[in-house]
Amino acid sequence: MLGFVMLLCMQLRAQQRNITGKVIDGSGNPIPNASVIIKETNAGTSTLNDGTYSITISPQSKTIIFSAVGMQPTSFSIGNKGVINVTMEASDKNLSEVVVVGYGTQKKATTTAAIVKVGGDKLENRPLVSVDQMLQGAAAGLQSTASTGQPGANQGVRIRGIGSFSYGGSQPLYVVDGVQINSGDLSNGNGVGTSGTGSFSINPSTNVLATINANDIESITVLKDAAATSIYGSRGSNGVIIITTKSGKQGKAQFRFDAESGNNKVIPLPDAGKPLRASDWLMLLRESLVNEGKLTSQEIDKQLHDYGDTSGVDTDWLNLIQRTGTQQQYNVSATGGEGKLKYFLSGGYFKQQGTTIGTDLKRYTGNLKISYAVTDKLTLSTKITIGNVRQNSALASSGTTGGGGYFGNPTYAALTLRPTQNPFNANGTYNISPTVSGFPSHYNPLFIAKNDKRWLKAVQGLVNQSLEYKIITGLKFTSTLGLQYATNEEYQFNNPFHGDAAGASGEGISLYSRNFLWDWINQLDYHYDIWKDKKLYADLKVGHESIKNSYYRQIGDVTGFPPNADLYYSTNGATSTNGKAVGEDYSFEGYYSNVNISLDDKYNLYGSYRRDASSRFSLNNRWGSFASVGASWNASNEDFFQPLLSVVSNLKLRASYGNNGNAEIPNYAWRQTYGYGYNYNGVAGGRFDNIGNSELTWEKNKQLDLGVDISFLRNRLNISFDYYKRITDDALLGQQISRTTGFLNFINNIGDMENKGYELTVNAMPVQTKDFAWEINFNITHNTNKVTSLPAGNQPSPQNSLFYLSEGKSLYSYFNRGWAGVDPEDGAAMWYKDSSKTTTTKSRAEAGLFFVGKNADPKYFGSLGNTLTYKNISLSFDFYYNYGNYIMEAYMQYFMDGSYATRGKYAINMNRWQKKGDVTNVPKYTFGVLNTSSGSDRLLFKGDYIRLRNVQMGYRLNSKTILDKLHLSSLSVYARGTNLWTKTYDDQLLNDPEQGILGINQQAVRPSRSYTVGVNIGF
Amino acid sequence: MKNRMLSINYKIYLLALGTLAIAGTSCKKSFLDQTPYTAVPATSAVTNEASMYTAVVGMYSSLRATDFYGRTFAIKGDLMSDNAFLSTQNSGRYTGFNNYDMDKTNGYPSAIWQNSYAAIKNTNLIINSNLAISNDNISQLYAEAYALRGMIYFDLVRNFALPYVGNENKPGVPIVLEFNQSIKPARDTISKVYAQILSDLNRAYSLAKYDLGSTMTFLSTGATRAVNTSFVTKYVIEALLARVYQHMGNWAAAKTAALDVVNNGGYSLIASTALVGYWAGTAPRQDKVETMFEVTSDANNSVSDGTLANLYVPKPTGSYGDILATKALYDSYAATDVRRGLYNPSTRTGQLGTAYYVTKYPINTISYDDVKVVRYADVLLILAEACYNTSDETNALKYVNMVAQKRDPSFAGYTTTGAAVLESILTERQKELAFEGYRFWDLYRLKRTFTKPQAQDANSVIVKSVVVSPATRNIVFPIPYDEVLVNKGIQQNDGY
Repeated sequence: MLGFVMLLCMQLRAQQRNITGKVIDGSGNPIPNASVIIKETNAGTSTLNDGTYSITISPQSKTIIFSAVGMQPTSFSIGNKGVINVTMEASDKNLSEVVVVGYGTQKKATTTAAIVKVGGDKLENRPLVSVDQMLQGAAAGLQSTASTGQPGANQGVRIRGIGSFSYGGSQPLYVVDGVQINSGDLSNGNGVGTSGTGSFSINPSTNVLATINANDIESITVLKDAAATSIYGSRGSNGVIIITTKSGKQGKAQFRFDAESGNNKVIPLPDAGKPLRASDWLMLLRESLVNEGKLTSQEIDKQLHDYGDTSGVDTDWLNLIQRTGTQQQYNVSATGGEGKLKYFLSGGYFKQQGTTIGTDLKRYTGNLKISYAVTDKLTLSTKITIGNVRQNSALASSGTTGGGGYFGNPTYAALTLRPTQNPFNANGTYNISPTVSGFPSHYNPLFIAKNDKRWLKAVQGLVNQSLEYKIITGLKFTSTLGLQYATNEEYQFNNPFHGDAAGASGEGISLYSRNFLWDWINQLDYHYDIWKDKKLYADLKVGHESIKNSYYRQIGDVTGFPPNADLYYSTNGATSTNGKAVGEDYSFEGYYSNVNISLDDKYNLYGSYRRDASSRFSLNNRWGSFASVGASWNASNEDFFQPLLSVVSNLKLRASYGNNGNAEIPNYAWRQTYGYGYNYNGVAGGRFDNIGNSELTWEKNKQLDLGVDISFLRNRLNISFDYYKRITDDALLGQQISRTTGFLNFINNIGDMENKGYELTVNAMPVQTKDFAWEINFNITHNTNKVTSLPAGNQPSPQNSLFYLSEGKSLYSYFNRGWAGVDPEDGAAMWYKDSSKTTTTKSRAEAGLFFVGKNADPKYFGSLGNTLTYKNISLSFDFYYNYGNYIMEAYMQYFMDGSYATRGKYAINMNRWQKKGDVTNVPKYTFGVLNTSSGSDRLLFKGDYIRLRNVQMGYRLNSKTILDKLHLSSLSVYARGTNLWTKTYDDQLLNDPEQGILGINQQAVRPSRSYTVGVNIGF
Repeated sequence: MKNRMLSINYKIYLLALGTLAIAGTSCKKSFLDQTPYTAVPATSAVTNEASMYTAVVGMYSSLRATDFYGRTFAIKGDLMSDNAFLSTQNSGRYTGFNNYDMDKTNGYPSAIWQNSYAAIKNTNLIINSNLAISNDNISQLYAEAYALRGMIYFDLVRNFALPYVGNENKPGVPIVLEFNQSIKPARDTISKVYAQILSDLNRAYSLAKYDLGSTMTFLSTGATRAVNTSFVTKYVIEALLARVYQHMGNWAAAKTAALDVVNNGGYSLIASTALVGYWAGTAPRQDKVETMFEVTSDANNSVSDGTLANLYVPKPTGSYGDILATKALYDSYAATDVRRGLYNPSTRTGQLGTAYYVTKYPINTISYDDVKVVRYADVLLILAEACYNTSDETNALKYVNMVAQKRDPSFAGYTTTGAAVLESILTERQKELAFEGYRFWDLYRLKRTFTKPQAQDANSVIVKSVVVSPATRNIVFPIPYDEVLVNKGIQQNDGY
């Protein structure tokens, strides 16, 4: 037997022979990594750095195919040649580029939709945790903003404005390798539309995307208009972000190792918002009591003494709660493919220490992707991605703003604690005395950070099994089963000595939640050549998709711990006060189809239709129909255009219109329910707790997009421009009703909204010589949001009560009192009586509430990036800018003016009115005068800023001799700075201007800048 | 080789067949019909005595909310009176109460309004259940729903409308007796609201079947219910009636109701030596000592840290210790008065003078604060006031001294005459019911003008205060702005 096998091998060997050659480009430069494949056998290799290759072929080999990035593929008949040298021609990028679209890929030239592709190279080795953070500035029309600097926090992402009334409902849909995953903050029951189970705050913000390693991502496609998103009918109304992970590449194994290390520092506070130090603070306290005029000077002296006047303590709290954090990541990957098998596998480690004490994140990721061509017709592929995150969080509230006045929140504590409070005892231990000399109300944040626990351990597994079968030429069947298994283990320990649970002798809260989602897609793709000679063809798709998600959560809460902060697990505690479990499910089902008809890649017509149902709507209104049409014209392909080509090298016009649906509401909101859990005296109780709405149905989003792509001077200057108008109809919103019903609202399809604007993307190569190149990337987005109909009348925004919804105004319009400044005569605070701003009052009670004409949504945002390359050195710097929004300082009333004079204060209080004639915006500093700052547009600040988001200097080793000596195929090193510089436009600004989608600063963890160096090695 | 190909094709067909089969089954209607695990359709809520009991339990639990009986009612009654003030160093809670500076957007009135009508909705569900009164259990459960609805309307109308006497035809609050999500009701007159309250309480009294200490057995499930002070019982309803009549100035009726409790209820005051321990207790009682009705909490069902102790008591057993008693109130207790033990004169950072902490609700940490809603001492004091107002000074002094001498065994008793008797009763009410939310209502219903303290000096003398008269706008809460937005026709109170 063995002999037979050996004989067979020898015989095969005898029939095999080698082909060698060299692959070069039009200028004669070798092309490394070009793919060389034998068509008949799928045998393949790739070229070396000098462009040479060698491949062994078997007798049935007839055709050899060469392909390389940016080159037109070319093939040759082998015959009996032994050497095949190839000169490859640069491909016309615009014509051959393929982009990922909904449920497949498409030639970019034939698309009719507004799509932006972000290549994986833009996402690699960033000192950022999650990929949504990296999308900031990467695509016109996409707004990405952080509300907290907590490592691993959720990032607010919006595409083409705010399309739904609820915060969660306005998020784009994330699709990873075809699977519509649960995204966002999956801890605490946020993000998956859970209802009635209440939220439980352990980690202020988490992000399921943080479990995905950006280095494993091949590309991200942002689908913006209806022609692109309508195929996702059910959930695509607020845009779709498709993440495609890396796959195996044909050829010999290529290994890659990336390492990066550096550190993080907090972005310094603006001067106005720094806390006052002891002498200034004490002086102001004295002034406040003198101005109050109630106490004698001896009594004031006594008060000052109580507050540390003579103690000599001058604590720099800000410095104590901040630190320089370390930043590291290591990624290793291997890819290759031979014959029928292709593989990609990778492993990654990422660590980020936050700049606020107690915050950090560690991530381990593993990824495996294999595809195997069982026959010419049948290909099976599998993908497994696992990410494990451990996040330690600062004490803060959960939700969209992630901060809060928790007494142990270090960011808040650093402002609210007096500079005269001493964090340490004389012997160097932490001061946690509840007496006058210690921390009688707000806690010592240093002790809390050291002794409390607040962690998240998140594991996400994404698994795809897919089968592709080519039934006949042009007809393909694909079945993909995607699974998302995401668990969150959260634990909070409040130590028994100091802090929120000191009185309860410590408290341990454990929370476990799990989302298991399956998404099964069965699809037929058909390519039909209607008139082959004229290159008239149609690409047709029909499919069925079903999605089911099961959510489970359990909570435990135990008090009464032994007096040892190391015994933090709740099993050590005495009294269990919570130990409950709950589940929730949702399901979606849809039928979809689309067709793209193209004539000579010049004229393209697109249409899509989807019928979708969701368990989130009532039996009667479960199904919705969504459709879109699109057309594009590659004018530059016309004969008459030829004379212009030397100037205008490409011109494409696009138009699309269609609709989409949105179902991002709590899972059971439509049902009228009588719920349980309302217990009393140890007995289970129930209440009528949800009105429901049996008529509830899809929120619809209609969108018009008109676009043009134009390139000049042989594509050295490329411009894309899109105008869009989105109408949200029958928006899902809690309709406010009289409280006398016993309810606040019921969910209904009420209200319309409009987002319109334009996007401009410019890519230019001002200089392109043999050694030196300069590339500019610029984009700008302008969006205007307007609530167009509210049949039930004005109402507070469901996202934050600072905003009121009113017809004709932005969803994020601040509704408040109008601050009229300080009267120079007596230093009193003044407000406007009404929106006419003609008369002022010094009584807050007389101040009118009105729309102050300021919004939280920016008018413009975008980015400007430059890359300079000289030989093998490159320098790039990217700016992000944001203009036209206002941010709100939610905690300003505590740190401003003589109200709460015994708390820490902002430095800007030094500008207070002192004597007649003083012109200032800070009123007379009087003890206990509460109404000076709370609730007026004085709390609003310009959110305009420009930030140097990324600076990178890189060196790539091109010397083949050195590389060969090192047995490497590539080697490059770089140094990178992130968020190094920020320019703001409000001289009274108290904090960083980036405060999330809602623009509300609630003292969340502050953002940081980082300095990193890295190396990439290929072998 | 050919055979191999065939077998693979065969496998592919099998696979395709299987795929189609599974895809077919997933299209079933049930796949899209996901039902909640924590709720049932509202229509199937109350169908028998057992499910009615579940609804009654749910109804009681709604009283527990912080901005309701759980805390804010009690805070308002003292912080908006002459009993207390907010320490200069505070957590920022209830500043509008202390400063008498609440506008129509203030969160506390809004929350109270919402919580009241939400609880009324829960009582309505039971009252309108159409379950036939086929046994004593069902009758008793109906009684409890009627009693709570009457009680909530009473607290609602006195918070959002002017005092009854002299304002009978002025706007009260909307009376809502059944669920309808489309309503935008106007305010019913004060007299109409009081008529509804009396109707509910009288109906409750006639339906009540169980007294404190008895046990109900639900035949359908075999479950039992020990009737303790966390539920409304017969004499609780009579005590509530006495309180309503007291506010209406209907002294004859108040006297009748209170006498029924005193003569037939079988309640007694707690022994002097046991008073401090009584307040530290956390469980509902089944004896007829002191407590008649309280809203209970336990380790698993509580308002977390939204308790009275959280605000009155400083660390370590409490939390903020924001609200301090005045020196005058503290000094009004004789050294021999056991109620002095419910205060803790101490020092507080940044607070001039002595910080007179209130320790009536000592334990915040496990959220066990039961909030007393009806106490026997109150009934005795209502009776005393009713006697005084029906020209029976002797009995007025008898009943006020029953309370006063129980608390201070060395006290010889009030011996005042004429109008001074009323002042003695009011003083005793202030001392006995301090920090249970009564004082403001005594001043409100009697339309007194008083000085509300706001800050004290190093000698604990009040140096900052505001004079409150019946014309002060914050005497009644504003109709919440969020209600006005959706119910444009509703009449706002003066000054907002």
